[in-house]
Amino acid sequence: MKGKPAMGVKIRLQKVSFRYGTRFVFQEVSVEFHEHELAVIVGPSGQGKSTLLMCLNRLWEEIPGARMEGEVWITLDGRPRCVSDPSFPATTLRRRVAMVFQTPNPLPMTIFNNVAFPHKLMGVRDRKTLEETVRKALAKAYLWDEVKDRLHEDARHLSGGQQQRLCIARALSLDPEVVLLDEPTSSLDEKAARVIENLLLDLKRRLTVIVVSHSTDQVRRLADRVFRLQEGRLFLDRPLADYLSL
Amino acid sequence: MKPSGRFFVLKIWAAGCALAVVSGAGLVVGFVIRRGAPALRPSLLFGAAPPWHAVFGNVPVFDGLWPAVLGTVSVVLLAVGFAVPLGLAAGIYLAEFARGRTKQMLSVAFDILAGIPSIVIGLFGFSLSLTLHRFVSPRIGPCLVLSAFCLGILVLPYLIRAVQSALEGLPLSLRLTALSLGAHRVQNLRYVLLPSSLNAIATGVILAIGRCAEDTAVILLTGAVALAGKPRSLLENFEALPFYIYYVSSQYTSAEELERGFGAAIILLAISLGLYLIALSIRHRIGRQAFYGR
Repeated sequence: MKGKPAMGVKIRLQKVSFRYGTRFVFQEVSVEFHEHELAVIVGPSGQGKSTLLMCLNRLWEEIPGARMEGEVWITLDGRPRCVSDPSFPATTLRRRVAMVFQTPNPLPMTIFNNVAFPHKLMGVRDRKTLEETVRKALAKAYLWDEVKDRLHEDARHLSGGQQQRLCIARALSLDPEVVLLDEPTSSLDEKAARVIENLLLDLKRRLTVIVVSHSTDQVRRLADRVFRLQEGRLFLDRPLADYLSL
Repeated sequence: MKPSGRFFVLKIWAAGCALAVVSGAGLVVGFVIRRGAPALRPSLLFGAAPPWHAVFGNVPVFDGLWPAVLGTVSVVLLAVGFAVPLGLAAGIYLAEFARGRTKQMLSVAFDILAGIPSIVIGLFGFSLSLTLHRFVSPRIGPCLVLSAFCLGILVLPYLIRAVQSALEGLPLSLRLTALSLGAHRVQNLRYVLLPSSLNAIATGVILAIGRCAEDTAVILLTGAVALAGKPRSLLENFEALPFYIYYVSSQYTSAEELERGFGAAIILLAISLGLYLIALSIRHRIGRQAFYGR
């Protein structure tokens, strides 16, 4: 397993090591994620699962003292790209490899402006284009019907589950090819979590989805493959059938 | 004592301290208002001049505080106008860009600056005016712009620290939100981090306004005089309310004159309150523009 990913492989991590200062989080992780796959990463807390996600969109670069070694290849627009190379623009990468965090993080703006925000950053000013983008993204996240009459209300007034779907809508509005989700349902109740799980199952038909999860039930319901990150190593976990029989 | 009992004692003690602070401030303001209220007449501000002509015309005010009001507002606005952009930029640099030794050294330097007594900054301003007078132009001496510059230096470290701690106090999740959506660092700062810190930054600016409005030591040595009339130019002396209050309270010859000093204190409090409300309204407008602007 070396260099560019093969056909059908969306993401390839090659000997990726990560450390904060002198403390290694994981070392020489090599793994492949496939197109249209929903991969779940499990493992004890504090082992670097969130950090591993941040290696895929280079968000780790914003954390003081963090260092990554190794290569990350992602197939974007049909072309394998070494996205860990500093010459690949991080802003472009993060629009194509979207991320949703553990706690819903709507910006202190209206619902509309939250979804339109990344597009405004790219210089889109046309009101009609923005309205269409916002409508489509909210529909993709199963949220349009619930908020279409209150688009100009503060997004922080939505319920936790709605806020998280808003964050997913915001990420999807950029038309990404990969979506990374860091325990996206851990702060939600069962019902809200189920809505998001259904949404993820729908998303994997179009995208590659990587989810960090702590819930065995969720793994059973969602995962195509399960990876375990433990003691600085990432490995394919027990066969999925074992989870299904749990 | 049980933990619940200790918590109760702590709560009572904390509430008592908060109440004592509010009562102390209320007592001072109440005392000033009680002593100064009888002096609050148009003649306190405008003397014998007709108010309308004094404000909008060119009628000079000889025995009123109107020139001192204009002088105080001018020096505060100039000082804050000089210090806020500089403090904002330096605070952003410390919080977002400076790392390691540079950050440590700058932090120490700003802490030292914050600890310098205002009379020393006044002396620095006075020496600066002498130097400029000697080497640049004999027209330059203690004046309005020099006072504003020195007051700006006085409040700069507070502003820098306010901006720095506001930015550094933002949670990592908020810092990463816009970046994860493809924003670059300047966009993140402009659209997320600064608007999210507005409250804390505005508090710093409001404290700076208050400090500029009340300080006497700096202006005493750098440009404030007793009888200068309305401020006519940046390079001339000016009158200021804190200087008048200091002057009257130390040299009053009659009870009526002291009463006018208290009246001046009420006007100074009202100016501070007015500037505070303006700062709040600017913060509110910027906040709405940043978060809800289309």
